[in-house]
Amino acid sequence: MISLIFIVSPVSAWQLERPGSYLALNERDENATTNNFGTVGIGVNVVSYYENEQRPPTNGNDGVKLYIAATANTRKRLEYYWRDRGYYSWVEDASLPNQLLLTDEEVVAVSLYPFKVRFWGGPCSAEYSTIWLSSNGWLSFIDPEHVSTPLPNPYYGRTIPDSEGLDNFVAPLWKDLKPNAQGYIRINYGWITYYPGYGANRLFFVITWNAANAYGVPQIFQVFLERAPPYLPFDMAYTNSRILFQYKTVSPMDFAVVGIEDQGGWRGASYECWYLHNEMMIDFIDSGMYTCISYLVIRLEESDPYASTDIIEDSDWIRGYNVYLNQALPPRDPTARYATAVGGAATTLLSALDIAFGIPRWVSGCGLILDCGLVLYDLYTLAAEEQSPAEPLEITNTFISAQGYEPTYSICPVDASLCATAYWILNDNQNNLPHSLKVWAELWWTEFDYYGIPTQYGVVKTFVELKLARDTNDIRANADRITSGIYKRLYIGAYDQSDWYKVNVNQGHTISVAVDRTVGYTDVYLAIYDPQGNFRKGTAYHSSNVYVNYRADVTGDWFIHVTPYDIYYGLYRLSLNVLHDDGEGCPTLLVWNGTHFLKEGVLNIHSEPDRDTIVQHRLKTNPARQNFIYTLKLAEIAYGYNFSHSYIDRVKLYAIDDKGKKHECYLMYANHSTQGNVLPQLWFSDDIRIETFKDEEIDLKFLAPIFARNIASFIFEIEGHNPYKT
Amino acid sequence: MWNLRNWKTAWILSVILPISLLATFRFTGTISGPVEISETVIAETASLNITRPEKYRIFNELIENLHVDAVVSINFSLIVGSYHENEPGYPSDGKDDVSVGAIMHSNVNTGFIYSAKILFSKVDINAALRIPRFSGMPLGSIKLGNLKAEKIQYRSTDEQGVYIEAMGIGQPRNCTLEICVFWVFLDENNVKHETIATLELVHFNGVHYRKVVIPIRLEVV
Repeated sequence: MISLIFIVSPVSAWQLERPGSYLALNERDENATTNNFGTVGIGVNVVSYYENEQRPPTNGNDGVKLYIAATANTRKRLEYYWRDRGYYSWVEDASLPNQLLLTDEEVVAVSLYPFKVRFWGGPCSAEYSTIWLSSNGWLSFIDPEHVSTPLPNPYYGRTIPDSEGLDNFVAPLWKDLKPNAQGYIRINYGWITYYPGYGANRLFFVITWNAANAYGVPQIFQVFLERAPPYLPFDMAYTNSRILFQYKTVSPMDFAVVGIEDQGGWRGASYECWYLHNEMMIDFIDSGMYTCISYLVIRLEESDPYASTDIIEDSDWIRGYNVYLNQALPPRDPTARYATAVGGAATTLLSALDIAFGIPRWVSGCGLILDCGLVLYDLYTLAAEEQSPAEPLEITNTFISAQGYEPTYSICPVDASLCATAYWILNDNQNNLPHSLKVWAELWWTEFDYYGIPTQYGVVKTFVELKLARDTNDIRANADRITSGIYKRLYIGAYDQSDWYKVNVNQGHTISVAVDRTVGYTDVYLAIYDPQGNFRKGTAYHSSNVYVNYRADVTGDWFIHVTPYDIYYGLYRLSLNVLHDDGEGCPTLLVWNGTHFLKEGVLNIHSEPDRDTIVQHRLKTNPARQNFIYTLKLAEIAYGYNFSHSYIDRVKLYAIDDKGKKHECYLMYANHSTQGNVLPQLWFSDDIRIETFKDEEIDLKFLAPIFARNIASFIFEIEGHNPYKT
Repeated sequence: MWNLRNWKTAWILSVILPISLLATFRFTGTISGPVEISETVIAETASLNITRPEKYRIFNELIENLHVDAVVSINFSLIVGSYHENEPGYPSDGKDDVSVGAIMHSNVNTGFIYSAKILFSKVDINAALRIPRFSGMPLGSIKLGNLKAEKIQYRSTDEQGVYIEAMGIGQPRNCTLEICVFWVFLDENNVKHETIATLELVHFNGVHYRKVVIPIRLEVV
């Protein structure tokens, strides 16, 4: 029975204040959603805004040009399963041209050039040309240094699949392997043609591990990675590479992880390590259960009488892969016209002859047969045309729908994309109406059984919402009310010579406002006015980047005024902070409790320039221990009197047990949001400090003390300074 | 054994059948023949020079080339719309472009309008021409009045420019044809560009077919 499943993703919105002139924007918004069947994503690049553009399709109206890209995949439904095939044919090291001699706990990258391996993917996707080999009996298709558990640690306590830790791996014998009797873990590898018992030779990349377990017993095993199946033979066109494990010498009584896992840790196939024995082969193959992409659709949705949309039909500008991009069906068979004409002429002619001469019976009989044949042929042509499928690519001014490649033996591509260019046309010539447009991406999927019969189908949808806001704050009486925060994509210039904002401020608080150019040629003056409309403070110069600070001496609505310089125009970002205390502007500590980061508070490290201070903070929330790791974060989010700017020299975390004993948790990972790895700089108390500016943060991971028991509390220690405190 | 009557039948069939087929094919539109042009009138070339700006600018400049005689009156105009510097996306892909509208109105007081063709010739290698296509309009950026589009070249090639050929619907006495062309400059703002827009209108004046050719030269310097 076919069932329908319908999924919609959460809302996302992008807003622009309506410009008054042409602007090249090139801003992007995107969204994605997923369920157990498929994943769909939408990306909209807002290319440019046109004011009174004469050219089509705006034809004198305002318009917004959009590049839209929809992507989809159904990889999550792919399955590998294993078979113990009772087949064994060891590949000797002499057949493998390359050799690596690894030490304990080592990972090296190896190129698969000139071929690729397809692993939980489809043609041209999830095809890998590099693998990372570990001395601990596994390989990964991604660099394990870039995942959250970078060390080649054993997979103790885990099952396959597991979304934590390393994903995208092939593990013939994942355990804490040791160097063999020669003092190293020897790995031999190379491409070979191999007969795995499938009835034909196939090309495999073979890797042999020659190592020992913790007791010095040799562990010798191989992995075979099949070359990504080519398009022919056709029944193999979309399948995944086969993976074979082969064991020459193995100790099954020693725990190990044996299996494979996909890119997200959602799916995998594992083999019970206790059943391993010498001279055996396990075969991991594609199950052939595919969820196919029936259609990928981009839909433009607006219910605005003063707006419309248009999609470019030009075939050069409609792109995608694994979907049909041919808009036109083959033309109707032209011989049908001849058939109609010949039939008509023959009938006319026979009637004329009959009247004139009385034609022989055999002639009229032949004519009747000929006429019947032609009529039947014509009816057949019409019927065939009627039954032909809907157009594989359909375009209207509100949607574009492309059919996915059809399955062969229920196997089909699992990735697809569709890109188009569209215009959002605004018909309100006064520029005084708000508009909104939803751009949807829809993945229509169908799942087939082993016999190629559809069993269920559904839709996964996601969208981004684009909004154009009115720009009516041209005079002080119409000032837009704002609060502390960042306001993006505001327009100034051309027909818009003045923007007013108002903010409610208490006496003694400080208004800190900054304007930065983001798009175009924004160049502005900035000023602050009191609740009576009197000028208090402003920039004496115009610039693309201006700011003003002013301490309010009365309580009320204070005004911020932005005006353009000369004919400059464009978009700007307005950042407003109403500060209640001049003393802020230091890093804020956040603690990971297993599900969220919780704010601990601001660590006050204000000090004289270049003089560090040490602050100890007892955590209000105990951090969650995950894989022996505590995760914390330092974020520069407590905006100071001037721009926040701290210098951090060293951080430490102490775990306090129930007897009051301090155990230091060693810093293992420190990643700065803009500078990357800053671990060495934060280890020592020295003159090397890490700077954090506004909105920057440092992710910290500390190793939990292994032998400590009954941890009761934690103390975080920071050494550094923030010199802007006066 | 065939007798005389059979031979007569075969002879009549061999004559009447081809004639009937030809008549039927012609009637169903399978075969159509070109008309014979007895007279070609070429109007003087009108010219418009535009100075290439450095950034986005709206021109909206109009140039007209009229042809009026005893039978036909034709107004062929170009409107140079707006110039975009480094226009991202369709159809310029980051190059500079200018939009040019071509508009033709025609009336005949005798006979009918047979066909109309607007051609933008490609005369320099540093530019490309494009008739844009949009889903919201049946023929993209083309508007037709009493005409039916027969052939459209949407993109210029190395050898030829873009054009539209349209045939009159029901022997009209007046017609309209409008197209928009995006003229994309492939150079770095340092080359002069030129194209010639030509209208070719064929009409029947009651006696024979006439062709009127009206060219307009457009230069960007």
